[in-house]
Amino acid sequence: MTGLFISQLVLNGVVIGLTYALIAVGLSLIFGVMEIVNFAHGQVYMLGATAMLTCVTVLGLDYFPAVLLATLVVALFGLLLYATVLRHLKQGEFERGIILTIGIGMVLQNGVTYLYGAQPRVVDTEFSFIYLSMGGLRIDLMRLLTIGLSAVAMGGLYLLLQHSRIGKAMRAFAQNREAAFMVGIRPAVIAGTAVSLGLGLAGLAGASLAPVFTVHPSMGIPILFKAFAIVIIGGLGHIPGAVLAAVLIGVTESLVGGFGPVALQDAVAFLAMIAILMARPEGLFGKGVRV
Amino acid sequence: MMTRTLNGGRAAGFHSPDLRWLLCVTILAAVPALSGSSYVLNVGSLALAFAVLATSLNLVFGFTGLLSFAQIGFWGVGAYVAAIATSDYGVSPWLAFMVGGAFTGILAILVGIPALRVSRASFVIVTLSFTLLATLLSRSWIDVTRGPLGIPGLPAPSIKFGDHVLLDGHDPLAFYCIMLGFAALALGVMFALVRSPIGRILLATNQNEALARSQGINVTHYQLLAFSVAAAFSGMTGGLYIFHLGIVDPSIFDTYYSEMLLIIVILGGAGNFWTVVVAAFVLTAVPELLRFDPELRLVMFGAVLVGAALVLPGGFGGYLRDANLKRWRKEVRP
Amino acid sequence: MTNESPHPILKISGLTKTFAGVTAVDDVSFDVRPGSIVGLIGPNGSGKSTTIDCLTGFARPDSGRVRFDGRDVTGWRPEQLAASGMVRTFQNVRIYEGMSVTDNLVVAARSLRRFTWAEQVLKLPRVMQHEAELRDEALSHLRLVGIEKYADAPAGILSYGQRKLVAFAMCLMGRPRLIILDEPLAGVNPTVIRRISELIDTLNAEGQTFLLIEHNVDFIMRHCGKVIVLEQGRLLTEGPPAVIRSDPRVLEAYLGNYAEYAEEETLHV
Repeated sequence: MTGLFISQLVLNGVVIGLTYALIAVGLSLIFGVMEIVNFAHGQVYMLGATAMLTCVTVLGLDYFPAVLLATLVVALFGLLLYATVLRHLKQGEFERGIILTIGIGMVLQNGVTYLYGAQPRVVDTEFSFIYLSMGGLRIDLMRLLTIGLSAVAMGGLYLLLQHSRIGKAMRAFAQNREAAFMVGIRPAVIAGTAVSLGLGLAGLAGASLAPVFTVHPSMGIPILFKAFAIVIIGGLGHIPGAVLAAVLIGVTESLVGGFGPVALQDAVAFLAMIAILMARPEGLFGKGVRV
Repeated sequence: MMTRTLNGGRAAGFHSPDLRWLLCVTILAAVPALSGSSYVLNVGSLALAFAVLATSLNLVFGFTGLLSFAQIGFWGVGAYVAAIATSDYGVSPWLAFMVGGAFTGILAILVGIPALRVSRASFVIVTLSFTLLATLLSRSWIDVTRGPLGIPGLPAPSIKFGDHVLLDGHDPLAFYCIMLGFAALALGVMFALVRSPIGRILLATNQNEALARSQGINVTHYQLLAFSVAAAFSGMTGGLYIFHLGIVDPSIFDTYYSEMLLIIVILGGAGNFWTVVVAAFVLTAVPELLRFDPELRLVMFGAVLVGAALVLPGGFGGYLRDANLKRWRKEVRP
Repeated sequence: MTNESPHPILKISGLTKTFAGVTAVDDVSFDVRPGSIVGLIGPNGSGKSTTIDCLTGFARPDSGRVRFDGRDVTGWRPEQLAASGMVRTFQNVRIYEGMSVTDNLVVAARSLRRFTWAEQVLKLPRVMQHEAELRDEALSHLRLVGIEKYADAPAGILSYGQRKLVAFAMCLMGRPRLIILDEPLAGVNPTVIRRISELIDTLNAEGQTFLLIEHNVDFIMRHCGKVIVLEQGRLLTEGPPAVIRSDPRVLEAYLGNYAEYAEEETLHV
């Protein structure tokens, strides 16, 4: 029984961890390429969920088209944001980037509150309330779909970064700005793509989780907190590190929640971050932080 | 301006702008007391709390150059510590708010040491995480915080002489006077710090960290000092202000406070002592005057923040400093 | 000229530093005697800056020892080394742009920091008296380097050459045991070069020890009692200027390329 209970907790942790990963990877990608810590990232996640809500309830779309459209909307929003605002940031303007993104986050969160209200909303899709069980482990179809979508997105991102020209350019940019100029892609194109991709991933997380949890304007804040801790633990700007750290935190939280007090579950990510900063300041998987 | 000499002229004029600003702030602070309206007095008390909070953020961000999101965390933790001290241990509110400040001052060192280990980026992230963790714990650590319902029925600070009540904190005017006394003391201490040799070292670590280190300055020690002093004053402010609210609950950590604080410091001019204090008064009063939808108000504030960061990269403080440099250039090379 | 004192103030032995597999400094040893002026020269990328960073604490040497003033200071942090009397300037000049020129110098003084934090915040009379003394000292250094008329101006308005002079004057506060100047002449005009030249001579006559890193060979040859030549991270040779000047290895490794650097430098001026 305990074995099964632990397995169930680990499974739940992996589901949560993969969603954290989608958010943390976007954050890490934007930091790596643009050296911006995106404080609006939680609100972008919320925007993805709200777009999903709109697609399902207003447009009446099915699950997959709705997720796809919501993700695209958020990615486009990222492109727009880069072209209008973030483009003006120069290298080394670290605090300015934070102030800008906080302002953007405020506009998003309060704008959505104004338009939709602050109350939590439920997104019902054709896959809701279907449970699968496997050897005593229970998982609902919505969560399984979330895992699948996360895995596909992460795999796609991996292929993009490893094999495409723009992906290689992004990696080069993250390592050395001067070297990146030799790739032959304009820095603005590289940065714009990174922002759009990073926000798109957060949007996907929001869209796929909207039917699992409820949608409300401040839903992004606690998850941003986890994502920040994860990027520090994985090493700021280190993408595979962020994925591994995300799953680790997700599983640990789930196990702590199963056996310990709820308060400790909330503190796991923070305590792990502090421990990492004291023991291995460059993060579990390295990459020196330049600021 | 042409009469000002290169030698000494600036030193002589150095103190008078401070006096002018002090006068300006005194007038602003006197308005609520003179109006006598309890509504205006309550807004005034909040403005005073924001003035101390914003100045503590200014000390850390404007002078020391570390963008901290922990200020509201400290304000809330100080509030909870003070509330628990009075309701569970029967401590007087007068002592409880100082206990809250002492607690957050020490907590800041514990948070600051790991936060300052890597870079300015990690400092920002750790301080924000600290505030978010405090928010989550205020809801989930029910044994201590009593969860979402909070701790109600807090007493007001008052002074009794026998049966005779000399000062009753329930009265808006009395509480405003208490806040005023506290704010004057807190701002006075932070002003003295900023204008002391230590303040000069804080500026130095901000302007050129490597140079400061090469001159024997232990940068981390000074950063921790500023962070801890600011945390102690934020904690005390929270610890005092909840006795006005009469209850502390998780809404004390509302992101609204964090956002307001940032806007006050950015628009007021990070690194300029008095303009930030004035901005705290003005920007607390403005939302009360603009009586439209609170969400739209915050959308507007967010847009103002984006606009300010785009148009004035160094904030208002940076603009003032640039203007000063320009004036000097003209004088030196006419 | 080389001081005959038996104990060097700075002794470096076997200093090695690698960055990502590239050995920037390879087993370098030399010493600096009190009261002397030692020059460190070498082509670009020969490891001069890394050597300076290692011995001032801004980089951690992989191996080797640094002894300063009779103590093993290997691996000390910059602030500890500065507190023990070793100060430096930076190649790309560093000053506090937002402060007045005098405040730049007063901040650099280590003696004010011996008062407790409380004493400083309360501005006790003894703190203020010491501050006044430091302002006088700062003014005398500014007079010495010839920029006293900018004493109260924000340092941000100064020209590049004037900034170098402020950086130099900052080093003089509290008279350190050893001053390390990293390319004091790069990018400054002939008037400032002459002024820095005279200053080094004046201060050295008063017993001040210097370690100079420079591209300007004439300057090094004129001032230094001993010259150390680095090439590709290794110590090529060391000795008095006359010997160095005629050493064919130095001519080939360094002076042969000098024309290129001279061109480069003039472009920056």
